[in-house]
Amino acid sequence: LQNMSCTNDYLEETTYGEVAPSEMTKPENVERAIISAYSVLNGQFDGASNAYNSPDSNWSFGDVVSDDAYKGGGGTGDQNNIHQMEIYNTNSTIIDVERKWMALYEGVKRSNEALRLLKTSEDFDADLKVKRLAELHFLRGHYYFELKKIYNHIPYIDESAETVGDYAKSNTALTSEELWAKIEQNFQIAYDGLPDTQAEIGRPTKIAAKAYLTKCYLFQEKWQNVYDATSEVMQSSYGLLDDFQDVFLPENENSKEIIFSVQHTVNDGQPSNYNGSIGDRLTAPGGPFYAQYGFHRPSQNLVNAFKTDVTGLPIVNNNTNLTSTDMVDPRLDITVGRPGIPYKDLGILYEENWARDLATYGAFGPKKRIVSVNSSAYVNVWPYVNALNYYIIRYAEVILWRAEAAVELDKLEEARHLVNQIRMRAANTAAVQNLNGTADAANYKIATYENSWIDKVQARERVHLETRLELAMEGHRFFNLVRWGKAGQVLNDYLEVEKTRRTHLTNANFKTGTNEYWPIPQRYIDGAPSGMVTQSPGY
Amino acid sequence: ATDSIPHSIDSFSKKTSLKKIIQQTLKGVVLDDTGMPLPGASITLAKTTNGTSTDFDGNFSLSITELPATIRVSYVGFKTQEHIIESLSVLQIQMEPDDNTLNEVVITGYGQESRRNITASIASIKPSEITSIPTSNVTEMLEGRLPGVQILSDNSPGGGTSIRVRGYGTINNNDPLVVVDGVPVSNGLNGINPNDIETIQVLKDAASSSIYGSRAANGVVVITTKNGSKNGSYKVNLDVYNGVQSSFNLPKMLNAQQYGNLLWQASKNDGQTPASDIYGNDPNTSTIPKWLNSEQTIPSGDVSWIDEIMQVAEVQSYNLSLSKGDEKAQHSFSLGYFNQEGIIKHTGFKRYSARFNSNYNIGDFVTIGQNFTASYKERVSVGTNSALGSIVYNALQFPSIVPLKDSHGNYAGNPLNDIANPLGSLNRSKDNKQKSIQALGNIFAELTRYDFTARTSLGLDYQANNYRGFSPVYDEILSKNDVNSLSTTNSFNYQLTWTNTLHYSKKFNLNSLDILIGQEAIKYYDEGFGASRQGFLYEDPNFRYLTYGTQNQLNFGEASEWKLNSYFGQAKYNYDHKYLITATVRRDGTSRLANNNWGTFPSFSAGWRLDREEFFDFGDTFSSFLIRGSWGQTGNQQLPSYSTVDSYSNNNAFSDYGINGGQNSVSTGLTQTRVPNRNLEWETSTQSTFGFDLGFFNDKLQLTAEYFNKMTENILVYNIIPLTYGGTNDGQWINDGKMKNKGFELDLSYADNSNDFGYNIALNLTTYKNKLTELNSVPYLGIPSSTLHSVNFDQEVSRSAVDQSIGSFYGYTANGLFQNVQEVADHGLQPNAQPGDIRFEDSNGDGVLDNKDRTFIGSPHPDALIGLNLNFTYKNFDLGLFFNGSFGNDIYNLTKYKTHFFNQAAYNKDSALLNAWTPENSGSSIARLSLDDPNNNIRPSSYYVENGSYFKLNNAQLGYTINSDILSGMELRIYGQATNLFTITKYSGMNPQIGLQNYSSSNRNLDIGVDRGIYPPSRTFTLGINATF
Repeated sequence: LQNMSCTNDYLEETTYGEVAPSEMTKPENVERAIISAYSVLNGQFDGASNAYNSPDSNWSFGDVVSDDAYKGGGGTGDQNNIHQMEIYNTNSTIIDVERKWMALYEGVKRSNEALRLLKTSEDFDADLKVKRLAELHFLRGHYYFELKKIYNHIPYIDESAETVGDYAKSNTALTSEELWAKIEQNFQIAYDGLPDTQAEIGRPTKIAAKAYLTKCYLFQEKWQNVYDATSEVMQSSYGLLDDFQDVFLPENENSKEIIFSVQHTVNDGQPSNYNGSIGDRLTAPGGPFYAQYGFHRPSQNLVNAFKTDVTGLPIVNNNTNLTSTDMVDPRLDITVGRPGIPYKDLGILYEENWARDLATYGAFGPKKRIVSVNSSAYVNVWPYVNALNYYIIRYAEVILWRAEAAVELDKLEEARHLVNQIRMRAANTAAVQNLNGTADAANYKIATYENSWIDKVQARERVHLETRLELAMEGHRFFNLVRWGKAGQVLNDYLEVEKTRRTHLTNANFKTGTNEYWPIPQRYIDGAPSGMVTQSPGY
Repeated sequence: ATDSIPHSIDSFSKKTSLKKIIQQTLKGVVLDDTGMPLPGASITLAKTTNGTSTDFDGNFSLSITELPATIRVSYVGFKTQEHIIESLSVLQIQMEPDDNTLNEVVITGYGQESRRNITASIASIKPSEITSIPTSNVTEMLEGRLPGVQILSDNSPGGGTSIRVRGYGTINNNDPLVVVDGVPVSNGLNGINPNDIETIQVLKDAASSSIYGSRAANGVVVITTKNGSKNGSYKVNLDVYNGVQSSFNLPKMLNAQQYGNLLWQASKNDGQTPASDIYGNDPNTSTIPKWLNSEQTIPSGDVSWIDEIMQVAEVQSYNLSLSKGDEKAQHSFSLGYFNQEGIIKHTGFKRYSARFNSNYNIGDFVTIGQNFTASYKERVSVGTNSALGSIVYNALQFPSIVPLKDSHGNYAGNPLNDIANPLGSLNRSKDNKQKSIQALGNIFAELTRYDFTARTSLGLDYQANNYRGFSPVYDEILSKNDVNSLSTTNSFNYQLTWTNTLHYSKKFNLNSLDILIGQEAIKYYDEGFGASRQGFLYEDPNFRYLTYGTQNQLNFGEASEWKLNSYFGQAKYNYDHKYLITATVRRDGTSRLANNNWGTFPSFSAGWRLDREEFFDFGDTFSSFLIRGSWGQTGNQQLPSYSTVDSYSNNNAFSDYGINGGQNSVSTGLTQTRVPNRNLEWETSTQSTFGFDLGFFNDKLQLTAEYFNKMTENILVYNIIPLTYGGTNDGQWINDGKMKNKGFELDLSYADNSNDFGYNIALNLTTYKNKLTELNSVPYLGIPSSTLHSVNFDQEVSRSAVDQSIGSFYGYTANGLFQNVQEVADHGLQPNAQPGDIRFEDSNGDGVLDNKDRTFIGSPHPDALIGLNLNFTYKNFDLGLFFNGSFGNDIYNLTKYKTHFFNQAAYNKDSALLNAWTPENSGSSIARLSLDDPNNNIRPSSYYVENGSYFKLNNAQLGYTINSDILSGMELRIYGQATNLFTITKYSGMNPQIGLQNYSSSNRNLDIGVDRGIYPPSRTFTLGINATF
């Protein structure tokens, strides 16, 4: 009863396990604040189990809304919000619109906060401080890049913001160009301060910053900058792995092909494995070994795109349904689960009945970024996630970016050689074998472009197509279509045919000028002072 | 008018002709029914203003001027007497107790008061009326019984309950403070044995509750427990009942063939050729196969799963109590056992309780004593009323074609959708018990000297909890678990309350004065730890301990606390029980508000008992009349601890990162714990009440009517912060907004008896109108996106906004179905719609149908709640019928989300869909079936909103009391009882009493009346005996 005396001390709160702000400028705690800025890279920013609404892989934001994939799951009503996105009926109240924004801005906020702590920390080692400042700018650059490509006109807030109120900012204060300049500036600071190598492999390197800077140029069609910057990346120690399939094995997640990735971990003490590939937890393909969520399902159109002609080259406007006698790019069966084709190293065939809601979403399942249940990186309990990193930038992309720039700079032959590097690696990849291991599982045929490229338009199409095939189901397709300025045309052409195959697309109609970007979340508009925030056109 | 002697003074004086003029003093003594002196009794001389009251020894003296004279002797709680004085001999007057309800003693804050003198709003109930209701929690027994008091319950044995007093006064915590024997309770009431309860009162207005200050803004439930009496008795009471409970009005889902037929219909509506893995490829008709899987281990069946998960369940209660007392010591001891099986299989609640109360008098002026209950509770529960993890919702969705068991005798797998076999789920969790030991009570000492009473009391509510949750391996095709795991958690909490009061009570002449001052300190502490492991070699219950798991060892632990320190005072004065005034003030200090610890909360109430005025003389016809009013303020600081504290902390779900590139290790991160607000202040409720109590026909007919108006300001709101601040901390506690509740309460009763027949009719009526009148920081409040998924399938279906009631339903306005292509074209806003689809309104009239057309589409709040209690006695028989009802509230029937729409075709549907719209069945109100749902019929809309009004026979009881002559000295009552005999409602779901989604989350008041498959209430028949020796 002594401590129940009646003084004001009695009313002082004792907090348990909480670190006082005054402790936070100690170097070890600044490091921990930086770690937490990395932590939300995987889209898990609170205790909720729905990180699939804010996935790092952009399976919903980059693939489902493109011609590569369908939402999947148990009918159009299951995650109906994503169904609405898939048929371009997106609105500002859809939970994914909100959660993705929250995840990315959480990254911005944590980066800002760590920057402020780092700058005010007096005991922090001066050399290390430069590196860490660079890392935080890299992270902030990444979060803003994602925001820019998804929402377009966004509020830009840096570490000068201290209070909650400072974070209420207009999304039109900066023009698109000014926003890009800010994002570039983050990566430039990162580039200037980052070392060539990092002892802790999850941290970005100087070249990673250059690669990301390249991606900024790419999205602004600054072709000469892309061309120049890629030179530097391509002279670095990064490079292609020999085998396409190996790229997606957990043991290669930090290999030389991976320029920057989100580090996923499992069995690390987090009871629900929320540090794993939690944003992709609904993409489990079903069947006897995997959970049955069945989301992120390759489209018929994507499968058809992998058809090759007799010489092993892709076929333009390749949208008649693939048959068992057709020749295909071997990357198809590494990317897509197809009935009758062995699935990973599991010693069984993928079957039609693995596919959830077959009637709606067809027979195909995801495969490329699915981890074998035999791998120690896979966890076979809820939420069924794995430790395979999500690759934000891998080397193959850099090659393709350079090829794009080369085309635009009229270096068509260089573009051809670059594309051929990608195709050569695919050709050298060990093709999927039948169950006995006696023969290829399908009629694989792939070749490099041997004839000179002379037509710029055709060259551009070939680079775009190669980009689609190489990066399919990695969350990039939609953003590339928008960047290429042909989202409306490609997607409406796709829908016209695809809706005859899949009735869930019956009402899908891409509205050019609107659907290239997602709306600003209604809760941001509602929560900000009236008139501060401008909704994107068409929403 | 308070006379109980049937002669009026006037009629007497007319008969008297002889008068002697004198100037003398009349002396006498007034005794109570046990012969003890009665201080403070009033003696008045008829036809004059002369009067006096008895002193401490019951003596009085009164000057009189003529003889014979008539004096009137009255004392609250006793029948008023008149005596005709012929001579001046010393009088000895013995009073008789008045069993009028106006004289019942009401326990108020830190004291007690006769009902007659209460000027505040206090509802009370005799526990004997309700203790035989077969439920674990005394809260549920109060349903419909008290005006102004609304009971919400999740219906599960030992499950969540909430009391709402006079509506919803605030946003965050609307639960009233519960005080048992002076000790605030933090662990709920399901550890209390209802049979131990002596009195229950609900302090409704600020005048009655403000003495409890900071935690009283939502009203106070004051409970006292039984003790032995002072009159030398020895009493043994045995109370036993046994009964059976069953479900009723379960929804009808499609059977196996009907489902196939409608799947075909939906598919054809979409212009597709029907086909299904299970129901075959015949485009004309769906076929039930012999086997559901290629291994031929699951034969097709036809099961009504909602029926299958239910059972006829037993409920039993045994109580034995002994009490003994005399002037020097009083004891009461009781033992209770209560066991309620759930009507959902493998759920249930058990309680073993023991109570010992004692009082000892030392000398003439010291009393020490204690009240303690120890209870052991055991509960097996299952999720209900949520989008994910509700066993009831799962049973509705589970395919009828799946049999109970497969050919291996295991619960059959489900090849159609990802819902686990409901019986399999229940069976797997049947040993996952939540076990709790609670100790609740206080020790006290009281010193009485002259007119002062000093009291100190140390109260404790302690509870230790243990839970072992095991999830075994199973494989039900689309739902499975490959690795077994066990999670064990242990926690304890205590709330220590130290209360010191000094009470002064004085009566002089007709004046009564009571003064109370006090101080109270409260400390709450909570600590828990837990661990989990996977890979148990065997799954038998004797392996379900952490050590026997082989993999993935994890653990956690945490603690929190809060404190209060308070000072309070109260002065009560009445003159002749005619003019009644009370003033109260409480000053509270809380640990939760860093910069604004202290708040002061005053209240006043006054009453005028007109029936004691000379001019008020209607005889027995209009026998009592009290007008009263009150005004007061109460505070609220109930927000999560540390809301004002700025700090950083680690959470391994979202602040760690594998920076070194490994697959199984992370580096530790620190994240801002919350968005603090150093300047948080007290939320304050200001409440006024005006009421009157009327009695007619010698108080056989009583009527109490009250009007209240309650305004809450500076509401503690978990405000949405700019979405650019990220999502880890999605809000900040601020003071913002105002909420208004006003309402009317009526309590009407009539009791009478003639010869062998007695009856009592009581009606209570409650209305409240809740409105959020101001909210500055945001336009509305809702459920955060982190819980929206598991609760609502990621949808917003309710909102709390200015000018609306808290938790109002929000969505599109559905306006019937399109009957033909022309109607679709005329409407013009829904190009994808077809005949049979839902027509949605362009609510804002901007010519576009989009999310801006969402609007308020219903309210979960009733216009009126009523309770009707009818009791009859005839000779030794007694019959009680209790009805209650709710009128004007809506229900958002979210079960339709999966059971009414074929765009989640794999889940079973409601049989109502057999009547879905088709061109041939165009009168239907049920939208056409479609797998693709191009019109997005499934969107949140008023299509889901239904009228939730009901009226039901809550309880019927018939008893027979066996004459004590036959059973020498023993009184024995045998009774039979039934609950939920019938319900009249238009609601299409199982039951219209929905309540909250969650009874412990901080958002619970923003989510009211949304049906996601609730635990059904039960219809119960019990037989019981009550014997007193």
